[in-house]
Amino acid sequence: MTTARLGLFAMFGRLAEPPEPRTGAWRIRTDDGREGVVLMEAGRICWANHELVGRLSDEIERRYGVSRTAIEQVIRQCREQHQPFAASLVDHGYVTEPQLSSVLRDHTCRSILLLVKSGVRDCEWLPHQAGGYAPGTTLSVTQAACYCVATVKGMAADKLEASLEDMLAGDAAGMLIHAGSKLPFAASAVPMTWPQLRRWLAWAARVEELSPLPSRSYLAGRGQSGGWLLWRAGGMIGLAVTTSEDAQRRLLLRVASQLSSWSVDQVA
Amino acid sequence: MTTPPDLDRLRRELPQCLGVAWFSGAPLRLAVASGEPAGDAWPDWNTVARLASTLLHDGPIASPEVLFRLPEVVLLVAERAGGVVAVAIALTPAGAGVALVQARMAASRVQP
Repeated sequence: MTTARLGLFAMFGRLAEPPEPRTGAWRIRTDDGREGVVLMEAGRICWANHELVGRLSDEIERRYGVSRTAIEQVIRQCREQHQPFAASLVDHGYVTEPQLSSVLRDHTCRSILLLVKSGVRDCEWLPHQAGGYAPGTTLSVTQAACYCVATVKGMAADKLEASLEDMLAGDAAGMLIHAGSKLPFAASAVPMTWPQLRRWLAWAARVEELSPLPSRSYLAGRGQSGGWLLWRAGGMIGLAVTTSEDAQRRLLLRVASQLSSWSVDQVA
Repeated sequence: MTTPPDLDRLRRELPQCLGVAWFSGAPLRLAVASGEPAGDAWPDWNTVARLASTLLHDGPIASPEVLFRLPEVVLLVAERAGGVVAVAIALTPAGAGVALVQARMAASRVQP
């Protein structure tokens, strides 16, 4: 339990530390007397909800034109057969997995943002059994945090993530940092812990403060196993951290060959 | 091996070498240098001295060698016994890989 009102980063710091085996739900109470929930499985965020955020099914209908009748039929079937609703929509071919992932992320992050905006007072952990969420539709805590930051800033979080992964290609953990605000706008698909995000972000900000990298430049360090790479294009800084020599070599080659044309589509 | 007063000779022998410097002490300070790190568009040696410790020791992974790839220059900063050496090489059509090899070779010749 916490008693102090939590800001966005403090809230994610709390969400990042569920008790082992890290599967369950955070029940979150806010200043306005409402409640929200953040479901987690093995430390990853599966879903969040707040009563003031619209229903996921409405959003799926609006975005992808899946009829209300079809959605209600899937819901009924899921209740009878104890199957997860979202994954069943993919199984029935109503949405693709990327579409599902996108709408889930958006719904989850808008819910978390609304919780924070309402003033988070209590985060209570309720352990439960695994919900069987598909890993591809879940978010790491760092991904969710960056997605929320990008959303608050009016950026296209999905596009920022895609630009980051163009460079990382699954070889590295890392993030995109907005040079002006020093805020992280996208986090890697390769897991990065919350303490790593905080430490690496502070370090990148320190480097930027000492001497801003010129646009289309990069810095690379190589350690005993893996290394890091910091690059800049316009107002965006990328940071990547690898844990093997091969991954570092691939990353370096990719950044060296793509940096001159790499761009970040930020418009939401 | 090249001693600090020989840095000018080292640069003469490698035309692409824009600058070479040796840093020592804690905090790191510029001990001796010849040339400039990367022209007007980027930091002087004192800025490199301030950056070096942060980059070599405080990054996500400690790295005995850091490569700066600037639009027209490759700058290598490497830790050595007793200090840090930095070498700036102008990029040529031969590419950054060749510049990095040249920087490493030059850095290996610098000793306190």
